[in-house]
Amino acid sequence: MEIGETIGIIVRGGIVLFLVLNIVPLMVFAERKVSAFIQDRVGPEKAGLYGLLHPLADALKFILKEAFVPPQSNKFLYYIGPFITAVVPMLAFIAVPIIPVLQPVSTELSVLVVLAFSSLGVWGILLGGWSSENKFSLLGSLRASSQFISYEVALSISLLSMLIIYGTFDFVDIVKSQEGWKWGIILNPIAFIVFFISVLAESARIPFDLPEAEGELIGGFHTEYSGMKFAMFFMGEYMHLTLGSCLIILLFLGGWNLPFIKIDLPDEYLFSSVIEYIIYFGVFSAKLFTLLVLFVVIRWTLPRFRFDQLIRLGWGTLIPLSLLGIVISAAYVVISHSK
Amino acid sequence: MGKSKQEVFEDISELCKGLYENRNLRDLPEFVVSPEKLIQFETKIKNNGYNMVLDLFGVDFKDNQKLQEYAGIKSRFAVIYHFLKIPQNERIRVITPVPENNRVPSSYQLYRGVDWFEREVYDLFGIIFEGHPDLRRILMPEDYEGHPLRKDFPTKGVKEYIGGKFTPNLVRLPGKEKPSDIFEEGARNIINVGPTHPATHGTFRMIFELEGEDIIGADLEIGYLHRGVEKNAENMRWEDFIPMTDRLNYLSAYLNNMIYTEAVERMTGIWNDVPRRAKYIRVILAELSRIADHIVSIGTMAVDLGALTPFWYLFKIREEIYSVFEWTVGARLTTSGTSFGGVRGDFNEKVIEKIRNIIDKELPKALKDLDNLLTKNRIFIDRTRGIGKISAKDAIEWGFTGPSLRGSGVAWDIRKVQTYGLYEEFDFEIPVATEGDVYSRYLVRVEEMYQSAKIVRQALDNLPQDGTKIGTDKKSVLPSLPDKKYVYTQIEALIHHFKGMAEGVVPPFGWYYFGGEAANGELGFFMISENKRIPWRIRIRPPCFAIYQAFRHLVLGHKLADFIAILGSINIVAGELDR
Repeated sequence: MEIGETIGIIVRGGIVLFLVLNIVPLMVFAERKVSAFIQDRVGPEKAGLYGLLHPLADALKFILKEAFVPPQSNKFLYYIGPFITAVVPMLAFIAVPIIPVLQPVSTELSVLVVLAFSSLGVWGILLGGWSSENKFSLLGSLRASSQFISYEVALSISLLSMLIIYGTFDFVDIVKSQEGWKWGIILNPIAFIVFFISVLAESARIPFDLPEAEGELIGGFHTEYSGMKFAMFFMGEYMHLTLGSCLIILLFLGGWNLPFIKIDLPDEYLFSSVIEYIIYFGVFSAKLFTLLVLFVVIRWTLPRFRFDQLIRLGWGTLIPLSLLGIVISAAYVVISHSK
Repeated sequence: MGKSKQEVFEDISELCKGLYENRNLRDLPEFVVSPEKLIQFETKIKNNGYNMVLDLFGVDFKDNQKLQEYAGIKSRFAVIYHFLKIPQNERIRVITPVPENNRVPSSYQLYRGVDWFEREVYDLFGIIFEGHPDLRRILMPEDYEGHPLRKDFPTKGVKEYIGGKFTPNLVRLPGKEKPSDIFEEGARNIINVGPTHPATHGTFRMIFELEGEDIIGADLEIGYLHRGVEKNAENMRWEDFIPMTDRLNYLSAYLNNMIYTEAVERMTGIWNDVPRRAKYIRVILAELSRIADHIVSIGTMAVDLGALTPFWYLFKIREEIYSVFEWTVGARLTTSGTSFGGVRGDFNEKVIEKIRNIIDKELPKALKDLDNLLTKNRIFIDRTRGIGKISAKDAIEWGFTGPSLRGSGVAWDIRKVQTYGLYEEFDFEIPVATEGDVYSRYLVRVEEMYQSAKIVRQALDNLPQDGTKIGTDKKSVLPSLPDKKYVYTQIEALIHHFKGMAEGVVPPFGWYYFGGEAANGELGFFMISENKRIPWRIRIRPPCFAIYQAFRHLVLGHKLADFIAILGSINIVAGELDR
């Protein structure tokens, strides 16, 4: 690997990391304001303009809190749990092309890289919940592991059905083939539905927030965590959600493409490619924020599943549906090739 | 059945021969039954349709021969039972003298609903119920010395107790009493919920035995909020007890005020002289607080199930209702809004307009939102339907009243079956759901809010204008107070006023039971007056207490996540539970 390439990876990685890390306070802010809007409240408004500085105050609070460690816990595992949960989604962004030039590592196998990293996230929850020496934490982490594994299956199968259509493991190629009207959501809506629900379940938010179900398990796996260590779980959850939304956009919603419009500025203008990239970035961000707000709205509308219902939904409904998605994809491929 | 009431009474009074004669002169038909014949007696009345032990409590007659004569017994302690026949609303009172060895037979084999009531009498009076399967202390800690409701238990100078010993005794799912092998034993896990847990809205503790996430064993510990309200009542004037009733079910304090006030008014015989406007205001505020109570019940259940938004929509209404209380009575939560012979505060145009706004505009809108968010929500229905099921027969046996009983399909509402509080003048219905599960109880509560709003609307339309306080000319039993203008000008009148106010209301000698429909069920007050300014005993019949004792049987076999739905649907309020 050449030195220039390494520097390129580091710079692009730095930019992506910066963007992703800043989504967390933005999401916290959006979560509060949207939930306040839904619930007929004002929401936080004291710190900064419209309460924009509240996430900052939160961060300060997290840092200044007492770093409590349960005395009988396994310290190493207890510390590494939140670390894994927060870092793994960041690592997954290494192969996510928000726009083509911002993909830190360009590889033909970017889909597999992202999948590999994102499914590691459950380790942090499992280790954290187990090492807390608390029965509620243990129950929460057990729920988390079985929930994530169940939904990983449906997620992977519906992903597979999209890969059958696109015929590639490279996100950039996938997005390029979705130009115009050929978005994944139109080609295979069943796979989209399954993928969307699985992403919701993998990010452990209401109605799938059983690992932390505060009504029954107090805090679930993070009952014994406080301060920055809790904040890392918190960040991990939001980044996981962001990662899932990016995957939905890349696979189903045409990535940085506008529907029916092909952005193709003539090459002779100065900076034409830069302007193109800025438009791409704007389109991608708009889609991302729409999706994230949609997730927030879902969270503040629905109640929570019970655990057996959740597992039944995963194995009994989503997996057969995702298999149906494969059939649809196969039919599409056969029809489009026979022309 | 076939037998008339008279025949039944003839039949059962065979067993009380020689103990007590004048049994039909008081508020309820009374029977004095010796402990030896108690079980025989209960078998007989159970066969004659008395299907619920509404209340069971002890009374200490220490050195009070007059009261012993009144009760028709010679022993120091007596255990008093209130039996109820649903749906005929026939009630009888049974008085059982407690012999020197403090032992009476337990009725648990006939009426399971006496479970906790007998434990409470054991705890507070030291009366042992022979044959009770689980006779532990309930409100006081296990290693507490003395029995607080005995008259010789001092109210001052008691050594401070620190600690709280409690040994769980779990009831287990049938067939799961003992683990069959070492693997099953390893899969079991005891989990402790409370006293500080997000799902316990109040302080009480639950101990669950889990197998995976299935609850196979459960025990409950209560008493964290035990303040000795009944003991306090024996040391304060009758009026001074009104603020204490606020702190029973503090979510609908006005209902408690109303029922207690009416109880004393009926006991003293001034009920008919209370102005109609006061009675109407009582009904309006009581129904508003019933709405507020149901709002808390439904809202917190929804929060525990993960739906936070309905909670906010509903709590907005609750805030508005509390504003009505603030503008009328002066307080928001602990209202103390009634006084003997009338109400505190009066409605003005602004308040009436606000109430109309709540019941005509905001409440229907919020309930429509609730309908869309929860009632028709598939996840909510899946979470609540078939959960915590209790049949009508079991519910009656456990002593369920109120929405929890109506959720099981029994159309039982004291407002309808008994005339009190002018409810007979209003047109409303008793909502009933048939399944007896969490969803049914939820639906009953929602519909009751509509019905309460209907009552309030009618009451506002016909609000009488005859004042809010009983007229001074009619206060025959209340202290004869001179007119206020003489109090300010003449020393003689001032003295009379002072004496009257210092003594307060003095109900006539005897006892009286009065129960009304509180938000959770029948809240009853059994009061014994010695014709003095402080009562001899006030027994509070808390609706939650009877319902919560069935909880540990209801959760068995359900998932861990279901207990919060069941707990939310029966709406336990620790202030009323622990007293």
